[in-house]
Amino acid sequence: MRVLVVEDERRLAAAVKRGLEASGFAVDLAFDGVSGLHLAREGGYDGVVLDIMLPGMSGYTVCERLRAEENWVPVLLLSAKDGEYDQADGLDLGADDYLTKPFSYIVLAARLRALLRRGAVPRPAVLRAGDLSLDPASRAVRRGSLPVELTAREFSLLEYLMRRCGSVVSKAELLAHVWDDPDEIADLNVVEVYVGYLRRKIDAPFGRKSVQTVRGAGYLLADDGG
Amino acid sequence: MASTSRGPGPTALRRWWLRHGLGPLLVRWWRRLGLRARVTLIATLGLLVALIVGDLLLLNTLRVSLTRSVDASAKSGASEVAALINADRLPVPVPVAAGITIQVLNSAGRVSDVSPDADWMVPLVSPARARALANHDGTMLVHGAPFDMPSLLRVAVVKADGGHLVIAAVPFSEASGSLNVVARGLVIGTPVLFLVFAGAIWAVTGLTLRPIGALRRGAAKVTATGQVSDLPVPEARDEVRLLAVTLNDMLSRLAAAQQRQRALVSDTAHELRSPIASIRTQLEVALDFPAGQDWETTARDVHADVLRLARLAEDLLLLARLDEQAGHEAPPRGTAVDLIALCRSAACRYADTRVPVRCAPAAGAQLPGTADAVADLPGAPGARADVPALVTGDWERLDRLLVNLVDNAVRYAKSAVTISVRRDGGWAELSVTDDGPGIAAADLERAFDRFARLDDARSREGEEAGGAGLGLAIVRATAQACGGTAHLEAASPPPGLRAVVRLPGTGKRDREMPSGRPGPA
Repeated sequence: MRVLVVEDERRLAAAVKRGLEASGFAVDLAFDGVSGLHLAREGGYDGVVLDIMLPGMSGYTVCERLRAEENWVPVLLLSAKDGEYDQADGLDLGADDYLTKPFSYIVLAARLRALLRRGAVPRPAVLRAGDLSLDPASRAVRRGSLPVELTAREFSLLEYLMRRCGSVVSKAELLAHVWDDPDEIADLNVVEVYVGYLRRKIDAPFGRKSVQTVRGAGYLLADDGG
Repeated sequence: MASTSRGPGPTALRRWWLRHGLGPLLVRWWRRLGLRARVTLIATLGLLVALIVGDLLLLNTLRVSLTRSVDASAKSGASEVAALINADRLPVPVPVAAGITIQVLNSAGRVSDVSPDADWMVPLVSPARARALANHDGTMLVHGAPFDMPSLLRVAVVKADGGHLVIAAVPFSEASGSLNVVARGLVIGTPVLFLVFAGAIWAVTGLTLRPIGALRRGAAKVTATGQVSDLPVPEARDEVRLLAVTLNDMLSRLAAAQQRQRALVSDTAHELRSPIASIRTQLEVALDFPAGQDWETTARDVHADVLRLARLAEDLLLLARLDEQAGHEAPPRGTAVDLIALCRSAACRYADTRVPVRCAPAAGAQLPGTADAVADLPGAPGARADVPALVTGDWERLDRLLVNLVDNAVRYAKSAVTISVRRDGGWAELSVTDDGPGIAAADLERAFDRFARLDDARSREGEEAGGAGLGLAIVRATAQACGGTAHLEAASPPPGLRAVVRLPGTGKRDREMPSGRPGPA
């Protein structure tokens, strides 16, 4: 497994490299944000360990750029900043994990292995289907550039449909994943009612048909946003 | 003695009053009263006194003017009768206007003529009194009851020919009746007016104090929530508004200070964590994978990180001390330090750097390798090379200041670094100039912030890496502790950066002493 470590503290970078290599990784180093981004784009790495305070370009920006280019390489952020919002910002920008300095080298290696197990499947921070977008972090839904106001339940429903974009989802499955107390709801029609609300907000005003009914099976969110 | 023996009297009384009786109770009660109650109480008491005095003045003026008019009618009645006597045409009974009673006394003091309703026998005033009144052109008040007349009479006396005296009396009851009506009106009206005004004062003071209540609630909210929000500013442009504006100003400055403090703590944590992370990882990896481990390299690397950590700790401690000193506003302490000697000694230590460090003052010309240095002492014409530029301070700290500046300059200089000292009036000006890329005008001030990082592209390469961003902060804090200033400016000619530190000269204070003051020359 080839891993890129972007870290401007050269001694730390060298020690991490040596340790990871001893654990069986192949490691490349970059000492600033710009070359880090370049290597991450071109190098075909299985994982990236990224410092946040980097000269040239911050780790946040590097991560954001990678995700914007649909590069889903697992990213572990490394920072001496331990503020709640520093961590939340990094993860919401598309990073997969966050480790605060000083860290245990063993934990770093273990987390990196866990990240690599998951692989580079697409896992965007902002979900998209055509021109329909949903940001779970800011809970914002947009159709094109227009914001769409949804209730909490409608939002959860759309989020689940978007995560399963292009495949049919049954009413029972929606009920189980979106409602808090699915066992107490006897009538599956409640799902139908909410799908109706959702269509009225994200489809009807725009003349689209993104939420489609598949007779006898359930619902499907069109890949292209209808 | 009299005054001393009388003196303790009131004091003793006052002491007794304060110790016993109602005194202390009253004092305590007054002190515990709210502002609104006190203002209302004082204002209403004042109002009460004013109302009563006004009432009395009104009544008195009214009485005087009524008396005058009654007196005037009595006198004119008497004068008319006297004119008749003088003309020897006095009919019997004496003709009079309604309401006037006339008695004419002959020279013997007997009643000789009267108006129809008057007493023939007894004069209203005794002849002697009447004569006196006639002489003074005076009037007097007489009770009419003994003469079977209305209660009060105003009496005037006028002389006539043949030793006659004409006594004229006009009843005063009408006037006193209207006085009574007015007095009754005042007795009823004054308390009503008083109550209305007292209520108004209570209401107005309440309204005036309402913004203070709002301020208090705002402040309580700030205390309770810890969230600094603006206190309500009243619309009226009064003292309370000024207070609110001042308090808001203070609150926002406190909030900014708190914000800065938080940022500083967070930055400090960040800067401390980085070398610790580096040390920890290097040691952990070295211990976990000893095979092929180059312990010497690891030791050297860890040592470098420890040095960095130590330097950071030193800088933070120094800044904390300087901050503490700045908080006390104590006059600059220390001994006289010669900046020229300081610069020379510092320049010597940079003998083998990447770029030459030159000492520009005339004194520096003697340094080896700095023969091309410029004499730069325009503030002191005729100054010789060995004239020191003395400032009050601590040699170690000023040296640290200079080293920080020169370190920065050497890091960015292209070909040379110049240190110069010049005297400017009572000030000594130390400047370090490099010919590097300089920094943007907008960042000149920000560079003095703690943990300031202006240059995003700067990386911690090798050992000549930049520090944690405390160098210039220390420079400024040190300069300020000595009563001076520090700033950055673009070098002239560009490109480059010039760091200027101005410190008050040791001689300055002596020169600024009042000239009339005797003292050592």
